[in-house]
Amino acid sequence: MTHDRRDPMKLAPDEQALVRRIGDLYAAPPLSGPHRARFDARLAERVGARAPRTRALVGISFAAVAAASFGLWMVVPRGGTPGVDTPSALPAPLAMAAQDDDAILAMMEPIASADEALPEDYRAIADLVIDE
Amino acid sequence: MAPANDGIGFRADRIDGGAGRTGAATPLLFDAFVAEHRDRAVALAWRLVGGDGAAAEDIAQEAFLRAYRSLHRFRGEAKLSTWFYRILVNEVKRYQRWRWVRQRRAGEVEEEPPDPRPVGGDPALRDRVARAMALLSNGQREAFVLVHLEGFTVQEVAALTGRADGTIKSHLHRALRRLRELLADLEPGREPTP
Repeated sequence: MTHDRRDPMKLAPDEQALVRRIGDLYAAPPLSGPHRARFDARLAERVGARAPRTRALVGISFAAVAAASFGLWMVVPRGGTPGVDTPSALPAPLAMAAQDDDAILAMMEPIASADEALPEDYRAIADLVIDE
Repeated sequence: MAPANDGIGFRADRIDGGAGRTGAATPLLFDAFVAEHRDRAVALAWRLVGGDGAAAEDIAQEAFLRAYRSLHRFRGEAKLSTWFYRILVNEVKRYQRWRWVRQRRAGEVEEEPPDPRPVGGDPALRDRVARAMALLSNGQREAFVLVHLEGFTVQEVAALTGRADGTIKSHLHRALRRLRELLADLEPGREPTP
């Protein structure tokens, strides 16, 4: 089998003529003025309709995260500095979780406060939700 | 992010600053980009989907809308127009996949309605060329249209389609060979067969 290794970009004159012919015959009809106006109006409408919906979605997502954070804050007993609660003061599953957390925190570099162990995003949300 | 300027006054940073927030500063800039690329986007989509005018307009609409919404992800590493045409080509592929699934579910190939807009030239000849183009694979048609009919380079098409240069060249070679077989009578010095 022979394989044509020519550069496909370099067309022979007869090929160029064929491509030109195909280009002329295989072309979309031009858009008329009213057609363009309808296209632009439809696009503007869709772009405009999108913005409030996006804002609403962002708002709902933020509210959901805030509600979840608040719920978590309500479950964890207060009355002391966070991270200082003794495991015995917590229900059994939470006490185990607290022990695990302590073990993980112990492996990390020393930190000034328990808050610093939290991810930055979480702290940003917690600052907004938890008014200390 | 470094401001991206496409040379036509469409600055991604300014668009981004207005998009989806107030909607006040954006439209003029976005409109300029749409006005610059609308006709070409529709024409290119038309060629890639095989002459379906309504689908081509829907695809172009979706591409502009996606570009508008994704502008914050544009990093200015390529020309804004290249980035936009990449979105457009992806939209064409999405449409082709959807059409393929629809045809499979229907159990038969649906004929696309003819484009109602008036066109010049011999309708029978146009129809023959459209049918020949439809016989190419999607990859071959994409490469042929983008390089030979739309004037993109092989490297640009590789960036637009996410394919290797070699694949594009192979598609170009096969597409041209197939079209020469199917439309041999359109070459210079030969009479077209009806």
